[in-house]
Amino acid sequence: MKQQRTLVLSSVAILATLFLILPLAVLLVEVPWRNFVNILGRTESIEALKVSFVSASFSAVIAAVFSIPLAWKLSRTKSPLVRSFRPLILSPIILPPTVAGFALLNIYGRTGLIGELLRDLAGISLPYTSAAVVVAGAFVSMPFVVLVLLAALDQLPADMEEAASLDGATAWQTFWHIGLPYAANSIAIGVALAWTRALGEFGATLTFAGSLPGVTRTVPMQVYLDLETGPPGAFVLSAITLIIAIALFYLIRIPWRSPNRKAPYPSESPQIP
Amino acid sequence: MSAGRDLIEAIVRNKSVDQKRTAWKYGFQRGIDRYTLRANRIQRSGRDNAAVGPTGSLTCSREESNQNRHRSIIAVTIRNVIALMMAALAIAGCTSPVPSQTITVLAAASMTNVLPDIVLSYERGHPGTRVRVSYAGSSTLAAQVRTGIGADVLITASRETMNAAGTGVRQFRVFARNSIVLASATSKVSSIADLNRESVIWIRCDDAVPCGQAAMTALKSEGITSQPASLDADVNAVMGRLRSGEADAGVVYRTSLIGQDQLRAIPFSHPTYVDLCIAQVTSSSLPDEAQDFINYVIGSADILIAHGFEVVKT
Repeated sequence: MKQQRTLVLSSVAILATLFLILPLAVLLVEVPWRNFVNILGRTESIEALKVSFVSASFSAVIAAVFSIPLAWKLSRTKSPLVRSFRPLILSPIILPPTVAGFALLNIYGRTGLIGELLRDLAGISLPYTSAAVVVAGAFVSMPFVVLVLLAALDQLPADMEEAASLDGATAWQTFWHIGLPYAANSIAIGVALAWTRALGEFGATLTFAGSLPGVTRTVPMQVYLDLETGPPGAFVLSAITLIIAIALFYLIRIPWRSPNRKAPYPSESPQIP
Repeated sequence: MSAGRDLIEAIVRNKSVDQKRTAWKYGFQRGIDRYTLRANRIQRSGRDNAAVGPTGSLTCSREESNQNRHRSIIAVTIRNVIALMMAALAIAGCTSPVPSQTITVLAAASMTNVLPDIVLSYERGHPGTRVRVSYAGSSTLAAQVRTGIGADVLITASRETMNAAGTGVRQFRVFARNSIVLASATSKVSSIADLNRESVIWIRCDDAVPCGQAAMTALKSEGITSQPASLDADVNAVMGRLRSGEADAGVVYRTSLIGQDQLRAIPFSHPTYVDLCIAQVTSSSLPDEAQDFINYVIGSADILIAHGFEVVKT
């Protein structure tokens, strides 16, 4: 009986792995490797990669900078009102990307609430700019960072802060010296997730920022167009994105902090999956 | 049934809402338990009548315990399946009967306003046949046909995109012509030359689609050198942005502006045309019906003209 059960689990696990890995493997096999550098050197490909990588980096940094204090406050708070905000803050995760883009356009567009304000006061128009790509990327990736950080910070026991405040630490010192080191791993995971999520964002960017080569056309949009006009370009861009994403997820597994360094109590901080 | 009596007892005795909720579940669970115990009692009665009491034996062997568990699982499963079947029947009863055949048409985005009218009159004249249309940029559709999508008819807005479908379609016919205009959404744009001004945000289709290529040639002939704010995948996307007020002007088809008064049409000095082509998809499973629909579209000159197309006399 025990052996039969293990067979079922193993076969399902193998099927799941194949389901996930086969498309990627076949994609890498069918890439025209001989013409790789030529196709990569096309203006559209280079521009798309530049727009995507630069805006995704900005999005990830902005998402991280704003998410860390948010997650800290959400996990430390005792007021039920603030606790009830959690599902609201995480809701952009379940929002379909095109809907998210539409929502952003509605508020930051030319006729939107904040859009009009920006235009009248500062003369800034957000849609159709590279900044819009960053905003869209930050909007869709921030909930992921918050989620990952909350998972870690919820495990930090409350007595730690009590002990710290008893020893005379201010709220900021508690955050900086206890909370941040404890969540360091999770912050790394969150930023990586945010970066890849912003890199792959298509619907929200298209609706909010438009699609202009070199300014707002990201890699997913370029792949979408290449599917119709020139599949080799789509293959090359997909291969590059895939390789970088895989490399990133292997990179964050490396223990960047030396093992001898004393970890904050409790000694087990959340590990990278 | 004694499960109901248990339920009522539990409800009457317990006062708080939580306890009532538990009591309901408790009553249900008791009902299930009673079924399993009764089933076991009937099975055991064959062997040893005297040892069985009204609630079954108080202790049982491991097999009996497993059997009890399996039977309760079966009881719950049967209950769930019956509930699901009833729900499914209810839902199925609400849907309309499936038509005898459905023709799938892939149409260029510029046909969005005119094709529903043609389809309506076609379906009225051919009861039992439904026509399902999917709109996208012509190059997208050509790529879909090339990679083997299941469709019957392809309509594109240029000969190049129809040729790009390659062996995926049979011999095509040109049945109408469309022209490019500038659609102005705000007062900032009142002539073509206004597009060159710094503060104007204007958009057009991408070069890959017929609308964009025609726009490119038309704009070049007018001497417009400024960049658009976005190159969209089809004319409907451009219209969407214009209607939402996100752009001052956009280069669209003349037919896109028929029947709406929000946008003003500004014609180009040298009209630029695109040829609308229709063809049957090679892999179609309904070749005769597809050809019938194609002939109908080609013959619908009045509907096409009413929507702003120019009909080619062949």
